[in-house]
Amino acid sequence: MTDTESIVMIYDYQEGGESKPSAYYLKFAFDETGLIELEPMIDVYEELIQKQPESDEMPLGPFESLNFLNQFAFKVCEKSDGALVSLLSVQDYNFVMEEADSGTTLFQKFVEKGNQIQNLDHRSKSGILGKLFH
Amino acid sequence: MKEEVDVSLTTPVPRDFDAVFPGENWFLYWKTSASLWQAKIQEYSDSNRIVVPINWAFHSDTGESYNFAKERPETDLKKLVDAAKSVGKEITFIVPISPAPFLPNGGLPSMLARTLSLGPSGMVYGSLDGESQLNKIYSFFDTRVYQAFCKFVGELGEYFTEAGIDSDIWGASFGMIHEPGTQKSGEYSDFFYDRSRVFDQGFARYLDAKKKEMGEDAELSGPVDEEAQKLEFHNTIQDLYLQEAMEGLSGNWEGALKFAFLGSNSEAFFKRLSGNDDSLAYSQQVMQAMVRDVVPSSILVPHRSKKGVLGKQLNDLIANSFLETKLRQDYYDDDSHITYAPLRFFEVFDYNPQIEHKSASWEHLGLLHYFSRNYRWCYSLNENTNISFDEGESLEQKIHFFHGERMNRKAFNTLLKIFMSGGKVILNRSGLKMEYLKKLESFFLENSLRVEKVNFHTVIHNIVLGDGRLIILEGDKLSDLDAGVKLTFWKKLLDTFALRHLQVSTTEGVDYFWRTRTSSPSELNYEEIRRASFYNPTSYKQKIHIKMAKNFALMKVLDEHNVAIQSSPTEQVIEMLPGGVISMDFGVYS
Repeated sequence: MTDTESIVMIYDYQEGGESKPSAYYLKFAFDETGLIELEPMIDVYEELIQKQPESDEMPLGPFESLNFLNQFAFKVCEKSDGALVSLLSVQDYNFVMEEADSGTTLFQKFVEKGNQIQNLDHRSKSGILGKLFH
Repeated sequence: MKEEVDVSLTTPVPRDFDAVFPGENWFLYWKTSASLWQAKIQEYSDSNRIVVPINWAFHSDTGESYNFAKERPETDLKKLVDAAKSVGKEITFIVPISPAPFLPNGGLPSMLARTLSLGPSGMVYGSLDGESQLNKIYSFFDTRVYQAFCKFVGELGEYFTEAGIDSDIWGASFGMIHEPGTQKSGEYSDFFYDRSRVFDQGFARYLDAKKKEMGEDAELSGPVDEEAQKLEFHNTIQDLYLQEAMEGLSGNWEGALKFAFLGSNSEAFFKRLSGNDDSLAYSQQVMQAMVRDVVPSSILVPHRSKKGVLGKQLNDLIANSFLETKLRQDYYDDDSHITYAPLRFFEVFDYNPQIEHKSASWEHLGLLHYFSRNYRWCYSLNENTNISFDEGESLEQKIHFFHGERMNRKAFNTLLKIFMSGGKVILNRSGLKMEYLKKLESFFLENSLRVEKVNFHTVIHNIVLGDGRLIILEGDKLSDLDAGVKLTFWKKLLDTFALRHLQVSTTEGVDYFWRTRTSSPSELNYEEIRRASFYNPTSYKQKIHIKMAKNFALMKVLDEHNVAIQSSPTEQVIEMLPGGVISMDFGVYS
């Protein structure tokens, strides 16, 4: 995983049926540079949930509860040395999209709208030395 | 080996010219002053055909009153056509019959942009254009939108007639090719898709109407049936828009086309939020669109991301070839245009992937995997609902694939017509209704046809009638086999057709596309000329081996960039540096 500042994750709650229970699924995860790679996220998932995800493609899940999803998000953030991860439901995502009128500030709006989890161990790379020697 | 290095140290500034000509000969007339139209079109040297999408919202804010050449000179489409003609260019108009991701509000007049469309995952669609402008897609299932659209195409048609505009008009559906590595990788979805509240309301009314007409038969039997009914409703409404456009614009109407916009799927949207364009993924989507008979468009992608391999690919394969073939149906009949068409050995009819039928999916039966290794992109994938057969079509060296599942009378008759005309047909009989099985049996009896039966992973029936050949197999028995076994199965089966083709092996990341044309009077030693264009969009050095076969001769090598070739009578070996491009022409003789 590459180092990053903020990560945005979009999740959805899927009603279950006869064969599978209702659960949360991660639809998209991205940072300022693009989509987060799936394979390292699967590793984090398997480590946390102690089983394989339903599929090796997105959406990633199931997560039994929001608590698990939060833990997963934090671990991904930690691994990529991100400053924070912001979790948005699909409804939150749609709300931001409805209000947005420009693509340039959209990422920041996603970060602000979501449920933010800070990574206090994040090493700031804002200075030029931080960036060079990280 | 030649290598060009870009030594520019400054960030390229988007030019006004790039904004009005965003790619593949498209001209966005509303982005510049009418007084500059002629100069800009004259300056454009890539093609004599200029494709102009008509921007509905630019001619009406409300959807009620329309402005064509009345108040603003930029709405004067007659002036645009005349400006192009005066500099020797031809304008072809396209009218969106679905939401357009390159326009604000998906192209709807602002007063009509009321309900945002929701995609399959319940998320609002958004797309970013080359200037990072966010365009949101609004539902076309809103009855007010439909009524306004009828008025728009009516007014537009009247304006064209009154102004004496004789340019062609095509109706255009816009969509996306799904990103590699996702569940729907390589599939096409259109922006007409919607699952918003407005769609649900319309669907409920549709079901009610069906129930009144058909009684209990119209009751939904489960989630799969519900999805099938929703798709039927979607297609019905989409068809209404198409019919209205055809009627309103009948004087200039040429037909309907599908376009897929690179950079418009969800994954690309999130990548592009940070200004990243994945040229490698786009490169692949160009090919995936073409096999689906969808025209790829790069107009959302900024020009800076189209330098190098992607730009070359778009120029070679789309702007100067595929797009022209779609817009000019007589393109290959005209001797003055010796131009290449995609080489297609296989016409594959498949199901709409939105509804799952595993035994009725050629992908699941391993056929597309086999093609990707042996006949890369040399096929066309059509939805089963669009089965048609042109009797003038050459049937030699072409195989048609049909599914028995949900076979209807039209498809069945087409299948038989192809076979009786000397065509080759492979039918997956899994799910074929008894009535069609019986019809096949009586057809064989009536024509005294011998049915050969072979057991090879599944039961295969082989029937020959003149040049025609019909193979019937049971897909159900293939679907659970290992991928390697499926590959062997298709190899053994398709080898029996003795198709003439050169085998190419490449390292991962290199892509290539075959095109074909008839020989010109100066090339009478050959029956056909085939061009293979190779592209290395990766950052690695790659190698390609082309095994020569009898009946093929290397005629010429062209457009070499960052490549080295070693030729021998048995093999061509190409070394491609990052960004390497090369085309090779092969003559085919008997």
